[in-house]
Amino acid sequence: MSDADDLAAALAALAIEYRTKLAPRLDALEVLAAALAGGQGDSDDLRELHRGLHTIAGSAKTFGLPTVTDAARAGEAFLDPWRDAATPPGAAEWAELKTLLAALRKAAESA
Amino acid sequence: MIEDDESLAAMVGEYLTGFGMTVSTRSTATEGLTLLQQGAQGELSELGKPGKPAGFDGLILDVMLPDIDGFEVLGRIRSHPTANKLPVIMLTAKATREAVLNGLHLGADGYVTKPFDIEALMSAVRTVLGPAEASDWPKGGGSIRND
Repeated sequence: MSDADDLAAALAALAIEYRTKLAPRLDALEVLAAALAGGQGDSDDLRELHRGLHTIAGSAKTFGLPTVTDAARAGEAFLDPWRDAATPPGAAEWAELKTLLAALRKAAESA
Repeated sequence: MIEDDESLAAMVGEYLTGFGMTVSTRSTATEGLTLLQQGAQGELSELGKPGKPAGFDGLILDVMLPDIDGFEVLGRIRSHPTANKLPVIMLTAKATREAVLNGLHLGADGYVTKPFDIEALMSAVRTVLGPAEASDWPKGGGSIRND
């Protein structure tokens, strides 16, 4: 096996690992969003949720999951105006984010 | 490399290592700056180049980090007396005109937009480091340090 083959195999293994770790990452984001929607958590938690979506948006396509990047980007963009807002999102916004997170989950599962 | 997405850092590390580079990864700005500071003080090597921390030829720096903004990290590096010439490639998910100008104003040497094609990042690394540090074909011999 050449060095190039070794590298390709290593990168393929990392891509598989990324897919494996994606589900629990989405679990954590959904739990965080549900807590925030229920009035628990604070602005730091909201920024953590935003950062989690941002991170997935920034990496999924690199690992061959462009639809996951698009779906995460949609969630991130939705939260952009709320990230440093003085007031938290309302029930309608959380409901919309829940829909976006469901779309993200679906994209991850069908990728 | 300072990047909080461990999977992405691992992929970049693996790739650059395949080109014979030694890659150190840190997931927070604080950890990364500490490592660079050690290099700037010559703790890692006695072979540091003027304006570069010893042991480092360049830095791949994410913009949105959990503790300190990547632009602020870049500013600190550029104002550091013995690390200010370290080549820095910024990784940003939002390559807005404002963000790019901000990075260039602060002295970024390259910009790569996330999500990136790994070849695009390698191209930026080649451009910034030059052919001496970045060869054209995987050759092995590098290593990933995340100690």
